[in-house]
Amino acid sequence: MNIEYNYGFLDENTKRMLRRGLLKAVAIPGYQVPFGSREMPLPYGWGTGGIQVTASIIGEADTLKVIDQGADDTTNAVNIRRFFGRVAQVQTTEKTGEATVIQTRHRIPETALQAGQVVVFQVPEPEPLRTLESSEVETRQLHAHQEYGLMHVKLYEDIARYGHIATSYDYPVMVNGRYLTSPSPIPKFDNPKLHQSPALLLFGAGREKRLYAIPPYTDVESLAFDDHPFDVQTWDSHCALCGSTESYLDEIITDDAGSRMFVCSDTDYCATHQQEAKQ
Amino acid sequence: MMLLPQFDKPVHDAQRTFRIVLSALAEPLAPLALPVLPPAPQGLLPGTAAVLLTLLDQEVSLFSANLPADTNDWLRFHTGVRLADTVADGDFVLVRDGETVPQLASLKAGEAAYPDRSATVIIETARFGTDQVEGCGPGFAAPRRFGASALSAAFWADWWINHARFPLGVDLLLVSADAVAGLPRTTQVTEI
Amino acid sequence: MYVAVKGGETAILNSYELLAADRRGDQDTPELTLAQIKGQMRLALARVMQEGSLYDEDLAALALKQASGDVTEAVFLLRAFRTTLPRLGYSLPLDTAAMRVRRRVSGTFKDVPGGQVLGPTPDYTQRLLDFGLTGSDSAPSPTLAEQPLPERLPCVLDVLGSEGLIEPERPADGDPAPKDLTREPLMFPADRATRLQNLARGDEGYLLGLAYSTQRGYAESHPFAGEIRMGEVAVTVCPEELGFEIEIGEVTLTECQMINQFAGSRTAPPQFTRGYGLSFGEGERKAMAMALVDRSLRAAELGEDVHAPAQQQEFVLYHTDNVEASGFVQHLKLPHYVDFQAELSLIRTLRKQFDAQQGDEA
Repeated sequence: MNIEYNYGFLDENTKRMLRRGLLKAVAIPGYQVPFGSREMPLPYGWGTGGIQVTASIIGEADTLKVIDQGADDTTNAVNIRRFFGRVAQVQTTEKTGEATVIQTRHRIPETALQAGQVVVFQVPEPEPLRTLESSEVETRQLHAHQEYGLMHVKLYEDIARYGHIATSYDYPVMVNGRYLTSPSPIPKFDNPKLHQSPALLLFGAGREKRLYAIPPYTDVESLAFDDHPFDVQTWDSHCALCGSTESYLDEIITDDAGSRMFVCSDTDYCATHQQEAKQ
Repeated sequence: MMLLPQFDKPVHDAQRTFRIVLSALAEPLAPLALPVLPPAPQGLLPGTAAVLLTLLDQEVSLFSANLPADTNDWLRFHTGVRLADTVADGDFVLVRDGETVPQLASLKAGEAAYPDRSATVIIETARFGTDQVEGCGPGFAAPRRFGASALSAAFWADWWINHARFPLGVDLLLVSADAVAGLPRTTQVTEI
Repeated sequence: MYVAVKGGETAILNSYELLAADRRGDQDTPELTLAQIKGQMRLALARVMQEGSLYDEDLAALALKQASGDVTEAVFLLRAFRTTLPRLGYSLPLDTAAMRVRRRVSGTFKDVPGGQVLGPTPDYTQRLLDFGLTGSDSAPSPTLAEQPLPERLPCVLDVLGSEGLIEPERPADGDPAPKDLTREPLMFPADRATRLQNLARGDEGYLLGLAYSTQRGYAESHPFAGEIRMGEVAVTVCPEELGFEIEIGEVTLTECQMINQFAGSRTAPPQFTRGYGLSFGEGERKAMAMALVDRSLRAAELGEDVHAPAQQQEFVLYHTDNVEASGFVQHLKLPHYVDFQAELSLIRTLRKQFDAQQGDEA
């Protein structure tokens, strides 16, 4: 028994449902649109939302890049890229600049995004208020009334206790001055890249069955207080491979004695930098 | 009689059209050429036919006043779309070239908790221009000028009300014979 | 010098081969056939079909074989296949009153019209390992009743219904078409049809635990097993273009009608209330657990105090799905280097502050 799947795996009805949802997501930046998430042949929590969004937009003219933790060669990124190679016959690339669609988990590439590109984020928990209020009925009301006091109190308590905000990733943002939004679990280092991005940013949460979007050139503000402005991670060292002092660094443990080094999490950026250094 | 066909390659043509519609809404008031133009049934522009085939199916409803019967059959056959009885019920509202744009406040605008449950209005226009308004908001790197022959000064006054209801409101797709421009509820306009 | 790890794709392909070899096991032992799984692992098959929401014994057997007997993984495989199937139409509601019954018991009446029918149950076996099954030559020949059961066994709860002592079973206002949770997201508040659909797809172990909690004081439950019946039910469709009903096959179902005491409220008289469970195949444990949880989820609409986990819609319904749960729990094994790095530097900062404070105080 051999089954031939539709282009992009999803059937056309499902794609249309997703596409209509994406249009509303773009029209209401940062608002979570419920959608009829389908069961994908990859596990929930492994990118099913991102995969469905990508499957609904991708076509033969696209060039796809898939990253996980900034890297093109982590197993889950490889697996998702293989999936689209199999069901959508698209060209794939590791070069950020060459991609028309970039599906990502946990990072925004270091190389500046361009107008016309679409970034698809895999989102485990789309609701930024979920850890503060477990009920979906309640959080929907909070968004409806733009009632975000809970989050401000939480951040303020951090400051009172630690002297600064103790959220290092999935750091909440206000989109277009209206909706409190999860940027997905990217490090807060990447948050500034969301603001006035020339690329269209789409977010898919498969298990939680929500879509949302940040259109190009949209204001995205990381929450902060006047006396405690938003700041991002910095490192004392530089990338051991390419020497970059501007990229997000992963810590690598190199021996049993706990020796460590730092390298770029963005493998394409790092490789390009190394190449340039050689020339 | 024979119905006109739909897209030549339904899967790929709909995908290409959707990407243009998505870009049009993401960067409003910048008309983009539609990549595939199916044969248009009576009373519809080819661009409109492409957009309708891309977005409609049996899960949504369309309101259109006085659609010719053949065109109606064509739509129902190819998309399965349900026809809404009143303009207030339509998930999609089609305003053909020459028809009056309904008061936007009379359309589905969503609810506070679900502003996405709102209408998308497809308005046909003979021409695009740059002579009516200047827009800004999400999707604008810089303010952009825009005009459409189907839209009047009264419409732009009505748009102001629609924009002011955010996050409630409706979103527009303006379609010519071969191009589409988006006007999401976030777009703020000033007349020029 | 450090070189970043490459070759993820090769590693993945190699893992496929190892998995296939481990699935096959010792090649001197004959390979399992789908017919064997279908014929001799029927309860595992029923659970895969039930939680996989697809009644197809051959595909369920294939999924079980592919998953090396891991029921949750088999459910996942079946669901991922199911999602690609076009919806050609919807069947008419199944009539379980017309079930060709193979088992029917009631815990509420000593004798019921049509009698208690034990059928193929393990309930009264002594749970001693049967070493007679270690071989491969068992050939049981059961004694069958001389008289077949009547075609329609009356429903036990109708007896109470005729006295007005149990709430009548009425469709919701306007009898709306039920939502299809495989096509639409679960939204709250969820109506009973939607809740039952969610519970029917839910993990048996999870529902069992929740149901058990209602019996241990985490909800007012007082349940009785009014009737449990198992057997075959015809599936009929009525295509719009034909305009008449056609029987397209039959499915094995287990249905449980639970009866619960209800002291009454300001608007409703004291009476018995219902909890309902339905499962593909022989799924008695699942159907009973489902019926208990269905009843506890009705607390709010019956005006009861909502305080226990099994009474809270969002808590219960958001966590029933084992494909969702398994994926999300296990996604923690995916790389989280980036977030972990962010947390690491945060903890280092906080630790430095803490140590400095301790130093000051000392």
